[in-house]
Amino acid sequence: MDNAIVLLPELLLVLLGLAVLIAARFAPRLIAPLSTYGLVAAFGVLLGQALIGAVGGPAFANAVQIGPLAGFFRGAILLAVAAASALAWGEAHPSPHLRFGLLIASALGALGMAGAADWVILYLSATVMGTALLGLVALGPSRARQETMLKLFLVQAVAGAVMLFGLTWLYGLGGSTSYVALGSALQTPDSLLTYALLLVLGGLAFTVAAVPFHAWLPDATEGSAPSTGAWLLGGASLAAVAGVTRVLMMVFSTNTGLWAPYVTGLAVLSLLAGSLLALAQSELRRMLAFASVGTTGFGLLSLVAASHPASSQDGLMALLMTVLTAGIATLGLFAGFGAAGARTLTDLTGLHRRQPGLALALSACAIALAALPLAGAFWARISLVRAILVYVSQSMLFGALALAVLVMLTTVVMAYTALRVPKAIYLPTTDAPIPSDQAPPSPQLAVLWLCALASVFFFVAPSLLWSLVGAATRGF
Amino acid sequence: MLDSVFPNLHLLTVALALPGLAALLVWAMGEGRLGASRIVGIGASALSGLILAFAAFRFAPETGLQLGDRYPFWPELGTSLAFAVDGLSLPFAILAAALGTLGVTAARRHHELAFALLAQTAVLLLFLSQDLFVFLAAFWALPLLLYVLLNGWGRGRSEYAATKFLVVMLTGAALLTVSMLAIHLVGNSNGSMAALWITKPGFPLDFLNHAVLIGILIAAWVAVPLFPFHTWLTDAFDSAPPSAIPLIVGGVQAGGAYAFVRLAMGFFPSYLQPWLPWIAALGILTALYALMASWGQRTLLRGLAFLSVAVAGTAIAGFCSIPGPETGDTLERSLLLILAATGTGGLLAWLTSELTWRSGPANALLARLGFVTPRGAAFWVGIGAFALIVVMVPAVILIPPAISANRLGLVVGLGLALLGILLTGGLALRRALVAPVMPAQVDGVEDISPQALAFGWGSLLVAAIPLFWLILGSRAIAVFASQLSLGFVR
Repeated sequence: MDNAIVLLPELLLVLLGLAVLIAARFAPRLIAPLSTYGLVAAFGVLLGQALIGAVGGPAFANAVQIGPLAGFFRGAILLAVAAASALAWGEAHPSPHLRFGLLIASALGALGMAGAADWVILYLSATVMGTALLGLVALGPSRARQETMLKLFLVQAVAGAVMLFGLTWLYGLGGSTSYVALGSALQTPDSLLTYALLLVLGGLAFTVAAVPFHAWLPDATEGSAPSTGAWLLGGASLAAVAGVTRVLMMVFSTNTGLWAPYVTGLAVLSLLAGSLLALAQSELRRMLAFASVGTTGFGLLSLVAASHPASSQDGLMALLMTVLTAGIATLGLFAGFGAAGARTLTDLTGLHRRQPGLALALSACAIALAALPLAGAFWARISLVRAILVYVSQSMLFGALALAVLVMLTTVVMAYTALRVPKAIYLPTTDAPIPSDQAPPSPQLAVLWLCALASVFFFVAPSLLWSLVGAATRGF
Repeated sequence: MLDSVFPNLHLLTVALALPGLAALLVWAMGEGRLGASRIVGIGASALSGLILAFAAFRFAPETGLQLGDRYPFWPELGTSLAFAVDGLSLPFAILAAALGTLGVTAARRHHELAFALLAQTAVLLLFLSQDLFVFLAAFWALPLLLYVLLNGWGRGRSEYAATKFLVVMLTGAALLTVSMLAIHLVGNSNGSMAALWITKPGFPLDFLNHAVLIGILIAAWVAVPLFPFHTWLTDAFDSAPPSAIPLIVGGVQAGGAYAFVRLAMGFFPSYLQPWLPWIAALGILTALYALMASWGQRTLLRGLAFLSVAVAGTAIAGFCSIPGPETGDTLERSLLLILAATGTGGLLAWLTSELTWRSGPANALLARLGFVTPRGAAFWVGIGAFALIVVMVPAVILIPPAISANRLGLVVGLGLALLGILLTGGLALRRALVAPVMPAQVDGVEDISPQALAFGWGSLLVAAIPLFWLILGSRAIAVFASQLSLGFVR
C-alpha cells in the first residue's frame, strides 16, 4: 500500500500511456487532450499528496526514496512534460500516439531518476528516458533526424557504458547499489574511489550536457520537433540534474573534497562555452540549447556551494531556484517560438505588430532567460552568487571568489544573448513587409502566458519562491 | 533606532510609483491617444518631482536618514522595500526627477514615453532605495530601460552605442552585485543600507575588503564615467533621443557618483584611503584627456559629452582630497560640483539634443561648432555662460581645501582641470560668436525659430532657479558630508 501511494503519479503515467495507445485505435483526436490533461492531473495528484503530507517515503525496498527534494523535482518534471504535451498538441504529426506515448514514457524515466535511491533504478530510469527520447527525436520533422538520432544513440551508449563501468567499481568498493549504503561504506577516499567517481561523473556529465560532453544537445534540440526540444531542455534536463544531485549529495556526501574540484571544472567550462556559444547562434533552438548548457554550469556551481556543510542548504536552494526559473523561461520560449512559427531571429521581425500579446509574453520569457529584473530568475542568480560567497566564507577557499565574478560576467553575456529576442521582435532591422499569419494554437499560447506570468510573479514575490525551494531542501 | 527613519508617510513611495504607474496607464491608453498619454506622463513625472521638493521642505538636515517608507519583501533574506532620504540622496533624487521630467517631455512616441517613465522610476529607485537588493535591481534595470530607449528611438549608430552602453553598464552591475552580496553576508544577512552604514561591515581578511571595494569602484568608474571607460557616453550622447539623455546624465552618471559616495566611502572609509591618491590621479587624467578630446569634436553633443566627463573627473578628484581637517568641506564642495554639473550638463545636453533632433537642417548646423546662425549664437552664448558660471563656482571652491591640506599635486591637477574647463567653454563660445555667420536663410535653411529661442531661455531660467536653490540650500549636503567625513581617519 505504501509503495503504491508513494508512486501514484508514476502509476498514473503508466495508465495514461496505455490510454493513449488505446485512444489511437478508437479515438485518435482525443490523444492530445488526453495526454495533456492526464499529465496535469498527475501533477495535481502529486500536489494533493504534498498538501496532505502523503508524498514522502521509501518504495521497492528502499530503492526509491521520495522526500521533499525528490518531490520538488517530480513536480517540476510533471509540469514540464505537461507543457511539452501541450506544445505537441499544437503540432501536426502523422503518428500522434507514438509522439505522446514516447513523451509519457520519457517522463516516467525522468520521474524514476528524480526519486532513485539505488543505482539500478537510476540506470534503468535513465535508459527508459533516453530510449524514449531517441524515439521522439526520430519522429522529428527534420531531414537530418536519422543522423541526429544516431548521434544521440551513440552518445547515450557511450555515456551509459562509462557510467556502468564506474557503477560496478562502486559496487565492488561498497558492496551495495543503494545510495545510503554506499554513502556509509565509502568514507575513505582513495585512488580506486577517485577513478570510480570520475567514471560515474563522466557518464552523468553526458546526461546533464556539461562541457565537454555537451555536443549532442544542440543537434538533438534542433533536429527534433519543438515539443521534444522543450521536453529535452525543460524536463529531461531537470531529471538529469536531479540524478546528479542525489548521487553527489547522498553517495559522495562525505567525499565532497573529492568531487568538488572536478564539478567546478565542469561548471566553469559549461558556463563559458554555453554563454559564448549561445551568443553565436541565430537559430533559436540551438541558442536555447547552448543557454541550457550555461544553466547546467550555474547548477553545477550551486552543487559545489552545497558541498560544504555550512553552505549546503544555500547551495541546494540556489540550485532549485536556478533550474526552476530556467525551466520556466525555456518552456515559455519554446512555446513562443512555436506559436510565432519562428526558427531564427529574423523570423521574429515585426511580431509585435502581428501578435502584440505574443510578443510581450515572449519578451518576458526572454528576460527570464537573461535573469534580469522583472524575472524570478534574477533572484535565482542573486541566490546563486550568495551561496557561492557563503561557500567561500566557510571553506576559506578565497580563489572561489572568482567563481562569483565569473557567474555574474557570464550572466551579462547570457543577458545580451537573450535580449536579442525582444530586440528582433520590437526593433526590426529590415524594411521587408511584415507577412500576416494565422492565430497561434491555444495550447502554445497558454503555456507561453503561464510561463511569462510565473516568471514575473516570482520576481515580485521572491519570498514565495524562497519558501517553496526551502521546503524542498529539508530532505532527499 | 531605524524605526524613526521609516515613519511610513508614503511620501517617497508615491513619488517613486507615480512615473511607473503612469507608464502602465500610457500603455493601457493605446497608441491612438498620444496627446492624452503625454499629458498623463508629463503630469505624473512632474508631480513626482514636486512631491520630492515638498519632502525637501520637510527635511531636517541634522537628522540624517528620514521620511522613509518600509514594506516587507523578502524577510528570509533580511530584505524589505525600504525608501528614505538623507543629505546625499535627496538632492540627487530631486535632480533626477527634474531631469526625468525633461526627458519625458521630449518623448513624442507612445512606447518611448512609457519607457522614459519607467526609466525615471528606476532612477528614483536607485537614489531612494535603502535596501541592498532593491538597489541592485534598480542598478540592473536602469541600463536595460535606457538601452531600449537608445536602440529603439536613437539615431545614427544607435545600435552600436546602445550595445556598448549595455555591455559596459551591465559589467559594472555584475561586479557591484558580487560586492553587495558579500557586504550583505558579512553584515549578518541584513539588507538594510541604513544599518550597514552604521555598522560598517568588514571582512576578517584585508584583501577581501579590498576586493569587495574594487568591485564597487569599478561599477562607479564605468558609470561616472572615467577614462578609459568613457567612450560609451560620447557615443550615447551622439545617438540617444532627447528622452534618454537627461536620464543618462541624471541617472547613470549621477548614479555612479552616488554609488562611489554611498557605498565605497560610506561602507569602506578606511580601506578606501590607500586608493584615494590613485583615484584622484585617474580623475585628473580623465579631466585633462576629456578636455583635449572635446576640442576636437565636430558636434556639440559629443563636445558636451567630453566636457561632462571632464567635470566628473574633476569632481572625483575633489572627493579624493581626503583625509584632512577639511574633509567635510571638500566632500561638500565635490558633491555640489557633481550636482551642479549633473543639472547643467543634463539640461544642456537635453536642449542641444531637442534642437538638433527635431527642427531640421538649420538646427543641425547648431551642432557644428564652426557655423552658427544669429539667433543660435545668442542662444549658445547664454547657455555657455550659464554653464561656466554654475559649474565653475563649485569647481573653483575645491581648490582652497586642497591648498590647506598641502596637497600640491592635487592643487596642480585641479587647477589644470579647471583651467581646461574654462578654456573649453571659452573656445566654444568664441567659435559660436566669431564663426562665419549664416544669413537668416540660405538655400532654404531657416534660422532657429523665436519659439525655440524663447523655449531655451525659458528652460534655462526655470532650471536655474531650483538649481541655485539646491546649491544655496546645501545645508543638507554639508551635514551629510561632515557625517561621512567622520568615517575617515587622518
